[in-house]
Amino acid sequence: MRKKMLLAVGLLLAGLALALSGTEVMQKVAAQPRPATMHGKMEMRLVDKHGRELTRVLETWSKQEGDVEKKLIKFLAPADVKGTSFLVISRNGQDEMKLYLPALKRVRRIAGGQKKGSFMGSDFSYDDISNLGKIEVDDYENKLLREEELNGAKTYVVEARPKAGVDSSYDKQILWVRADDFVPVRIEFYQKGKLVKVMTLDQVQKFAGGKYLMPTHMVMENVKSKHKTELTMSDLELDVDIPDSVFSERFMKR
Amino acid sequence: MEPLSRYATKHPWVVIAFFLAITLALGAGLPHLRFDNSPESFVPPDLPTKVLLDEVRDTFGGGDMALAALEGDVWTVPHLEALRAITDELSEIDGVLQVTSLANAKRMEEDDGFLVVEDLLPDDLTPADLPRLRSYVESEPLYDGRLVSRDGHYAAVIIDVDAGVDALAFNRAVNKVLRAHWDGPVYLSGTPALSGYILQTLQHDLPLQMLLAVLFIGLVLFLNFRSGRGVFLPLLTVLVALVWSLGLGGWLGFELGSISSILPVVVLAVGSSFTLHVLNRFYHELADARSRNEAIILAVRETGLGVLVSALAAGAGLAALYSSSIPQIKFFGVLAAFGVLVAFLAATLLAPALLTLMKNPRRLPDPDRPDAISRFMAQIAQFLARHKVAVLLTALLFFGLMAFFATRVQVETSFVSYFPKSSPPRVATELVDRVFGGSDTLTLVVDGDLKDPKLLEAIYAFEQQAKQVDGVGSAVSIADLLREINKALTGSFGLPDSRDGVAQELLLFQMSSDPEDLNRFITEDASEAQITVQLQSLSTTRLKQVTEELTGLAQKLIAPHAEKVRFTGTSVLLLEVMRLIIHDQYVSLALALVLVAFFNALLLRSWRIGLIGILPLVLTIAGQFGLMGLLGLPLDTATALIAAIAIGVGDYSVHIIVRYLEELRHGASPESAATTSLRVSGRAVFYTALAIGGGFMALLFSGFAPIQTFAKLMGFTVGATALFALSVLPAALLLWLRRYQGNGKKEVGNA
Repeated sequence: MRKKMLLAVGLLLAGLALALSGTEVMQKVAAQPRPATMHGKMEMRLVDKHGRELTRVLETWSKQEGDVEKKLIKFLAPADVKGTSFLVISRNGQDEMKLYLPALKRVRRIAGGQKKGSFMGSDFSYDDISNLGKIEVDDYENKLLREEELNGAKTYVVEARPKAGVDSSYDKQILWVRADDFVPVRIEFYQKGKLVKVMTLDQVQKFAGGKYLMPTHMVMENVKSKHKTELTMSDLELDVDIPDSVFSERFMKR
Repeated sequence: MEPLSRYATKHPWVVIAFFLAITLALGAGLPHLRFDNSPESFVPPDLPTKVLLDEVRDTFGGGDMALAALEGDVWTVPHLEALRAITDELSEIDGVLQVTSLANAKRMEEDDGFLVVEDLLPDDLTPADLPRLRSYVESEPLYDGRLVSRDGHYAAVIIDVDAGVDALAFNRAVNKVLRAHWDGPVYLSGTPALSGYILQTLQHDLPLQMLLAVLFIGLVLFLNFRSGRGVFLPLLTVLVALVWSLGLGGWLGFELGSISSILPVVVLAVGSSFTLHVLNRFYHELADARSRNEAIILAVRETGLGVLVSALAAGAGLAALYSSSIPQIKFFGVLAAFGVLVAFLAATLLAPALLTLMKNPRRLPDPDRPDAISRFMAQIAQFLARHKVAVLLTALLFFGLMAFFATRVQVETSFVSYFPKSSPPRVATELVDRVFGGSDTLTLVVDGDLKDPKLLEAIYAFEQQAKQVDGVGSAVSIADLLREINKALTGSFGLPDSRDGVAQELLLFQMSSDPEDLNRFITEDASEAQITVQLQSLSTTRLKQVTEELTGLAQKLIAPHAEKVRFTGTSVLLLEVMRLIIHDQYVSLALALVLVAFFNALLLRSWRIGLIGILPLVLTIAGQFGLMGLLGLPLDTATALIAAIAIGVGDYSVHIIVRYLEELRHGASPESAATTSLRVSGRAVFYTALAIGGGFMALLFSGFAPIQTFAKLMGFTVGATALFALSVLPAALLLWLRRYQGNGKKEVGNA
């Protein structure tokens, strides 16, 4: 009975959609559960403005344990970069990064400061790819601009601006958040008041019986250079056991 | 001609209304006039070098290079912060594709066991950082001497500018940013900056030159006529012609450049001579006690033929420039020819219409009272009658001598040569040449397997040898970038020894910057790369040698490992302009001379007259080029026009011939015909030459060196054509045309 009541209230709230504030929308986005571990493949298609393209395939492992986040990325293709791998271990926001280039047969430690940089040579930055629209809600001024139909789904359009003193790559983001499941499906990134990049998440799949909603296809387009990156996730395994030995130099070299 | 002038005297208001209406309609096109002096405005769009340049710009996202040198101690916190602000703000300017300076340079090195890839300047820069920064930069071949001078006294800001940028607005915006943040002197150079300066000079020069030309021509007209209308009427007709011509250019969407600044002066100078001739005759007829309208009709009838021939010849000479492959020169030719023909129309229609409405002048010149000039002319005629063969032989000797010197003429098309030695753009360019190795670029496009270490080694070897060539500042390509990455990874400069190594190092670079940063050097699929060679601003001759040397090096070193190596760049475009100018010279010269001879022959009904008529022109043109060779004046985009313009301004011959024939027809002996012709028409020629020469003197005040040279050469040209028309031409007439022929009668000469 109580559950039914909650459901009814929930439906009512959904009906009074505009009653939600920008902050509430972003809180709901941030509240989406994340898996503790993830393993899968990522196909990265880089396309320049002339349509010349290059496809890279990567295998990724990640694991979250309390404040410690570990991530390993290994290139499978093209052949000349196969085996190149990248390890990041974040402890309380401190990153330890290592790079292995098979041609040099050496693991190199890399100094921090990469978060705003390009993710594996793509148009995504590390921040873009790990956040996918989830922001530290309290660090931003969030304003609900309007409701809008996008690709047949009702969305909230929210403008998020970092508060003074917050370190962010962008001075504004505009997010289109689906009203039914609070997944951002389109994000515009602004720097110095100008639109610089647009991310589209056009395929979102349910995993673990609907527990997780993961984007499996997304495109980031650089507005000025017309360069774009298309990411396709496949063979995703969530919450499987990944041993710590994966996040090691020995595994990088393997 | 006569029916027209008759109509003009009967219905002056209709004629005036007609001119007014068209002047207003075409004048409305004036605000549409656009200016462009980019290197592109000098080359035909389908030129292979230009096509390749567009392709390269499209592929690698680059444009033209501008370079700002900032003077002051670079290694201080305030200056580096200023550099940072400048770099940020310049990136925001319209048309700026990329800005490179110490402020956004990357640091990639081994630091305490870590591979560091980060911005060179930390966000919170303190004096304590400076020694470390400086020693890093000094160890980096990509930065040392490129982004900061080796002594640390100059910082460079390299600005990559879209080729289609509004150069004037670009220059203003850049200078504003530089001045706002930098407390020391700043120097801006490079093609976009020079284009901007050129346009700036042009907009300053055009009104000034027009005003001066009007003043000079007006003064000469006053000396000739000593009356207000003698000044007003010719000037009015040419101003109408100028409005029509520039307005038409506006409506047709023509883009004017440095060459176009000659246009108003050409129309003013050449056009005013038409009305001068008509008006001269009008006064003579009035003095002969004819009625006003009769005098007008007679004046047009008698001078009309001469004026028509000289208008057609001038128009033909200028229109022959349409055969040029250089768009700017083409536009100039069309508009100038149109302007000259309009001036003719105004002289024979508008001027008579206005004269009809005016009262007769109170004071009339007495045609029979010889003044000093006509007396002198008569003396010349007597001298020529005695020494005609000697005069012609002297002319032949002069021709031979000048033709010899003409072979020494050098071509010059570099933009920096536009500016006088101490002008700011010239000073800036020379400073940038000295401190940073130049602001001109030449691009080599290499097609092949760019992951092949052998090809990369070849490219690097090419760059090393290219830098030894005098005039080459630096050479940068993907090979240099890979050496930097390799050093950061392994501690030593060098290129990876395997394809995989290259691929992985490229990946590392992409991971540590924006993906399109790499695309400035190499395509995504590593099949095409560009080598950017930085050049000092060289003379065209030297540039040609340097390009040939570099081509040789590329053929020897790179070609064996690549599929294709091609050259392009703004500097190469300007080299092509040189080739075109030389080629065009022959074509337009020949075409113009043939056209002038043709019109003379057609209207005076004799081929012999046509050929004799171009004698003064042939001698003048030989003299122009001989003088250029003798004095080391270069053939450039402006002086390339002098031959064509000489034909336009210098066709005085026809007036002498027409009068000579008129006298022969009336039964005068050749000697007395020559004397009368020189006494009457010679006087007009003298004043016309003065007016035209005066008009062109206005160009001496141009801010462009080539136009100043042009003005000096025009001084010579006007003087020489007049001199030859008053000496060689009558001598030739006396020798080869002693009997009247014309109007279809078969010619019986006694040559």
